[in-house]
Amino acid sequence: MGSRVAILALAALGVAGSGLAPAAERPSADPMAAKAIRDLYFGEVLFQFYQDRHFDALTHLLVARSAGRVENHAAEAELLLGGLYLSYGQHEQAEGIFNRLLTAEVAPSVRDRAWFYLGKVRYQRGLDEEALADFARVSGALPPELAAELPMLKAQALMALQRFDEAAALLDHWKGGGSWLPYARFNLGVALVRTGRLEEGARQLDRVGRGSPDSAELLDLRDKANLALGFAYLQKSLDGQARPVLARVRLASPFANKALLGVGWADAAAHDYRAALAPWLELNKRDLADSAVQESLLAVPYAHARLDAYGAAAQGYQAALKSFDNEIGQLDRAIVSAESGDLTRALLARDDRGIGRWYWQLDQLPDSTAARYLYPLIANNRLACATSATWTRSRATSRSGATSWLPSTMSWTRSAKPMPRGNRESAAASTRQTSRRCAPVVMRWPCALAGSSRPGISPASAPTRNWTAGSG
Amino acid sequence: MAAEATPAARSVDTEVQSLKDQVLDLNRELFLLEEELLFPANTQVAVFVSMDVGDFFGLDSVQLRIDDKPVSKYLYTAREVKALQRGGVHRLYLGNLKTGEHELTATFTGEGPHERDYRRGTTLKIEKGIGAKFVELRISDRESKQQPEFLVKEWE
Repeated sequence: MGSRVAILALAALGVAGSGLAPAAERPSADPMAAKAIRDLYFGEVLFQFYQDRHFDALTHLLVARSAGRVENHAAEAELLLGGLYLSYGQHEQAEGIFNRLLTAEVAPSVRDRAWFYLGKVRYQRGLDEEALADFARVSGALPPELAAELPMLKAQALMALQRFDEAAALLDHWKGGGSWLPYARFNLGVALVRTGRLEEGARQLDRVGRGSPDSAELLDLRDKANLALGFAYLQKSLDGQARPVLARVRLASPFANKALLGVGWADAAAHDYRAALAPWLELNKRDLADSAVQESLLAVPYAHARLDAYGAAAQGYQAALKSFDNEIGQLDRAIVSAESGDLTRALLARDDRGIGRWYWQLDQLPDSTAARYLYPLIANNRLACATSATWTRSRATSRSGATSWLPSTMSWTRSAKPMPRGNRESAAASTRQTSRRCAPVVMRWPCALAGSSRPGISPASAPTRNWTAGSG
Repeated sequence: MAAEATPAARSVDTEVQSLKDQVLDLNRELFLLEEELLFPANTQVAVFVSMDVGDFFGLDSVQLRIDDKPVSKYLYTAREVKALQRGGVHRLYLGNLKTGEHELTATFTGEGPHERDYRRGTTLKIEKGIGAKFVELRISDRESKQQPEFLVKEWE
């Protein structure tokens, strides 16, 4: 996305993304006059930019502007700067530039793309009101692929603001096709369920849940749709309808744990506790960092109690207590490790020449207590995109001679452990503590872990079952 | 569905942007400082490479000698060549020269149409004055079609 944003800035130059006019079309006899570049250092910025080295391009452009070396490309440099700021996540800086430069004289296609991408970045950071305001400035001159995406982004922002009726109305008239359609159906289904129109919402979610996708991402979306629909039925105590829907979720899916929990609930609601034990016992074997797995530790002894196996139930509850104690201890140690910087050192202890470079990505977790909590934290879309920081050791530290590290952005507070459902914002809030202590270096998390879509119906909204023995 | 950014998340976003601003400011200051200290304007000379050719030329390397001393030899990747072909300009060399006359010799090698290798060079006498000197070496095929050559321009 960053490249396309900055290319739009070049469109304002009249230089197409593909570069200069071919040799045959050059009009002037002066061999040096054919180039559109009138400042060498602006050309140097473009050299970095065309290689997708946006941070370098941004730095070099700022240096060149400070030194007064791009005077002949002042407006183009400013617009390119806006695009580069946006690709780097500096949406406030980008907006300031776009507001100044994107006047009525600028081509509508350039203006519309600027506002579209600004709005998209803001939506990804959860700034939904601002995103809608940016989308409202789009006049309708977007290229087809962006025009198809715009209604979906608007709908998602509306849903995030709890304006589900408006979102449903917007998506009801969805005309975009292609790969956005399953997402649009999923989001419409969520919106309809949230506004109490379960039957209509279920139809949309069921269509996505029964699809035959051909990509890993759409397979995950299908599982998500089935999970969302299953929990929607559970919320309405339609347990018989919930079970077959939840059973469609793949066992190896990221949503499998919650689906297994839900299947167990559905069976328990039908008083078939023996059947409920099957998915819950499977959950017991999985990573205790997951909240669904934690709940299964109580669900299994509960089912035993309902089956009059009180001895097994008592043992199960005791084992659950012990496991929770251990987990709390591990979490406390992880917090200490993160706050003290040990986790950071473990992450960077590998002998990897790429470490410190802008393109470095973490591809293997270190052997550290805290490392097992990294995935769910980083997979929090809002945290990953809001912080979206980059470790850079090379420029700032090598020149200053100091090695200053931003302490880990993962300080969990006690109130956030063990990453309870729907409470991931606590982890994001805790980064304020660490950012105040930082030297000017930042950290990069692989955005692949952040996922590509914001969560749909959260099972956090499902009623919490009371697992104490003897309860119904 | 995730709710709108909480005040805490907004605050994090603002702080991260501020942090990135600091990183960019620091980087900019360090770059400027490095240049001022190591390559002050009264002795600074910078040599740039640009391309103005059709699609059929691939650039392999450029070598630069100043006063018969080799000062730079750069091998270009395919990505860098593409960036040059799109209009980017590569700063090949940044160094210091005393005021007065100097001789600059540049040689480029690459592959032309019909997979023909080519090698071209140029020699230029430059007069280094008080201010910084910028020289552009443009690989161009304008003058004779499909035959690349160096064009040299001095910038003030």
